[in-house]
Parts: sequence; C-alpha cells; structure tokens
Amino acid sequence: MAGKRIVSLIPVIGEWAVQSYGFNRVRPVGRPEVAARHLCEWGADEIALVDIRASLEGRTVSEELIKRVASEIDIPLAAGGGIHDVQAAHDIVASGADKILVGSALFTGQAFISRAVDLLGGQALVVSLDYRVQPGKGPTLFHTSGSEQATFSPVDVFGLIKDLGIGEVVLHAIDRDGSLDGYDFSLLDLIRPDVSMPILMAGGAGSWSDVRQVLDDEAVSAAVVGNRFVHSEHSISRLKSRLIQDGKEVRRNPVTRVYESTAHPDDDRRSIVMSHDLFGN
Amino acid sequence: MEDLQIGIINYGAGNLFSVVRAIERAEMNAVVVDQPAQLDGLEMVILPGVGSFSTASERLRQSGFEAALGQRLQAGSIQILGICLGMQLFFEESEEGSAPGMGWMKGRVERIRRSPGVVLPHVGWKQVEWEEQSRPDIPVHPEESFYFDHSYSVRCAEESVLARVPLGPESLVAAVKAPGLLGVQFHPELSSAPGLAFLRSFLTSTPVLQ
Repeated sequence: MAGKRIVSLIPVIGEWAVQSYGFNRVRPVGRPEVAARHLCEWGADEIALVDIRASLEGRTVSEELIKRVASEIDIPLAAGGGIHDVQAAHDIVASGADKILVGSALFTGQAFISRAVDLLGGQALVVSLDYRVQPGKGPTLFHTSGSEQATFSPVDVFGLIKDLGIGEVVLHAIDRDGSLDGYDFSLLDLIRPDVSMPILMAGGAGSWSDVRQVLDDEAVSAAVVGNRFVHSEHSISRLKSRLIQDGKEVRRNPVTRVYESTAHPDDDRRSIVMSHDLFGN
Repeated sequence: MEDLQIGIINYGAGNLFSVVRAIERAEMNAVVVDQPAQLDGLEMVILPGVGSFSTASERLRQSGFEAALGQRLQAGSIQILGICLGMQLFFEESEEGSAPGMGWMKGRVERIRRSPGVVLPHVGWKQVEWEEQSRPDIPVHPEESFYFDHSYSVRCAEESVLARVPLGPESLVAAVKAPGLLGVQFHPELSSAPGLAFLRSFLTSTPVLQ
C-alpha cells in the first residue's frame, strides 16, 4: 500500500540554506545541496527547495542552485520562490525541478498559473497557502513572504485553485514555522469539505508524534518537515523508523543495494548501480 | 556498458534533467534528441512525460518524431521506453484533449475516476503489482515503491498489461508492453535506487521488449 509522504523542506535565501522562524527570523545553516543529498539518503520522499525571500526581494529562486540540488538527489524536487511568469517556470523545470511551487503568484498572476498548467501539466504545479491564525477571524491568508495579507478568503482561494487545475496544495501555518509546537489544523478544518487534491501540511513539526498526528488525518497526503528535520543527523530515517514502529505506513528506505561506483573515480557524484544477487532481504 | 547510448526525446518544455541524470547514474550515455535526424544509430530511446497529452502529441507530430519513431518501430530497429505521459502517448486517444496519440498501441487514456478516498492527481510512492506470468526479471525487491504522479490512466487489452497499481477501489495500469515498446506510468528516474535499478535493467537487457 501507499505510504503517505514525508516532504523535506529546505528553506533558502539566495544560495544558502537557512532555518526559518515565523517567516521573519532566519539563521543560515549551510549548503542546500549537501542537505538535499543527506535528506535523500535518509529516506525523504520528496525535497522542496524554497527561496523564502525571493518574492519580497523581487528575485527568483536560483536556477544554478536548483541544478546543484537536482544533481544530488534521485527523488522528486519541487522548487519555489518568486516564480511569477511562464518563462521563469519553464527555466526552473529545465534546471531540474519536477514541480514548481507558487505562493504570491496565486494572488497576483492567475493568468500565469493557467498558462503554466497548460505548459507543464497541473501535476507540476504546487501552491503554498501561507496563513496566520488571527484572534476572532480564524485562519487568514498572507503572501509575499508573509508580508501582505491576501484579499481572498481561504474558501474562495480553494475554489480558484480547483478551477486553475493546480495539482497539490501546501497549508503552511506561519506562526508555527520553526516553532516545533506541532501542526495547526484550523485552515485544513475550514477547507476540509472541498479537499479533492493532495494536501501537504507545513509548519510546526517538532517530533515524530506531530508527524504521526498529521498523517493520521484522512485529508492529508503529506507532512512537510523543515528545520527540525533538515540538519540533524539521520533525522528522516529516525522519524520513519519511529512511525513504522508505531504501525504507520511510510516508504521504507530501499533495500535495493546501492554502492559506490568505481567507474568514475574522479567524479564525486555518487553513482548508483544495482546488483542482481542482493535480495536476501 | 558505458558505450550504450540512450536517446532522450526532447519534444518541448519539461524536465529532461532528471531522466538524463538517472541514465548517467546508471552508467549509460544519455543523448538528448532534439530532431528526428538525430535518431540515426540509436537503438533505445526514452519518451519522457511532460505537459499535457494534446500539446505533447501535437509537438511529436509537428516535429516529425511521430513518423520517424513509427517507421523505426515497424522496422524493429528501435525500442522506446515511455515514462508517464510518454507511455500514455503510445495509445490512440486521451480524455486529456482532442489530439490523437501515436496509436502504436490499442487503447485509450482516461481521467482517473474520483471515489471516496481518492484524491487527484494520484501522487506518491506505491508498490507495483506485476502480472503473475510476466513479472520481469528485474533486480528490484517486490516491496520496493515507485513514484507516481498522474491524473490520467491507460485502459487497454489485458495482454498488454505488465503491472498494475491499486488506487481506491480500482487498480490502474502501471506498466505496458508491445513489440519495441515498454511503458511505465511511474517515474523510475525519480524513484531512488529501485528506479535506477529498473532503468538499468531494462535498458541493458531487453527481454520484455522482444
């Protein structure tokens, strides 16, 4: 059976991986391609690489960085940050991203999104709905790195997402970002009756039980894990072992044997070659 | 093995990068094929899956790839691995647009039916159920998962089906074969070590394609 996905989010600013707190404080932590390689080895099901300041600073996520990250992994890569036109979407996919992640563009450039769906297919489009829970008002959408409040209600935006044919939706709770306090369900609860596409939950993962709780929700297809699980050794392997131990179906690390190739001794990219006689399990 | 050239058909927008990367990791040479003339000398090509059915099929037609690949298939001089939309294009038609497919295999592509518990697109890692008789001799453990990402699915004659994947109450076609053709709905190039093992196995020894 299918396990639900664990998506590793690597927030970046320019060429550097950062840890992000509440969308406003960041701490640089290292090279995104190194993090991506480790996360892939540890069993992440997908990598999301997002330049969290790109829209705010009028940039687009670095194509060179996408190339470097894509070269290190053999699982799907979603990339986002400042993607506002079809040319940028095309270039990012040509650089090695399998999906593009859009946020602000949903509020400022719907024509672009429908053209991108035509060009790349809806499955290649992921939208991130970033929100804050405001007292008395419930979940309220923001965009452009959380700096601008959206004029749409969550329910209206969800209708728009369906009409545009966007493949997947990330619900990202800004106040939980980097908090390790667990996921917020208030936006999911609001749009729950309308869910007909994969929903990815982001913001707040601090422990395996937070991830378990979110994956147990029928409406959720994937847990996005960030800070806590990007830069600690074997984080994803340990998370998945704990989930499996607890009876949760997630993809196990491949048993298909992987070994260092000797064919390209000068090439530090790891080659993967399988062998035909290694299935004693 | 390093001499084996695998052509990757470039028919427009999309991520050829991950297919090229996977071929190189499996220690074969990837050659991006931009025009039909470049097919000369290639015995094995990959038709990757990008974009929507009609756009892709029109591009293959207008660029001359449809005719060039069709002739080589008939002559038995080429083998084509179709990935995702690339596999769907083997068939006659699709609900995703009005342009006909390549028609190399009988069957059509339909939108996956919604039912309780089924969200579309169908995205994620799944174990593949190989048909009892035809489970290919590939060095991939049956419990390994492959990555799927699609909203449309092939319907075709049973004898063409090589593997299925369960989704809700249904099971979808996960792999098909015909002389010179192998199609997979999943993305071996994005499926970690099992995906690479699968690719290498099929591209270096071709028993199911005969």
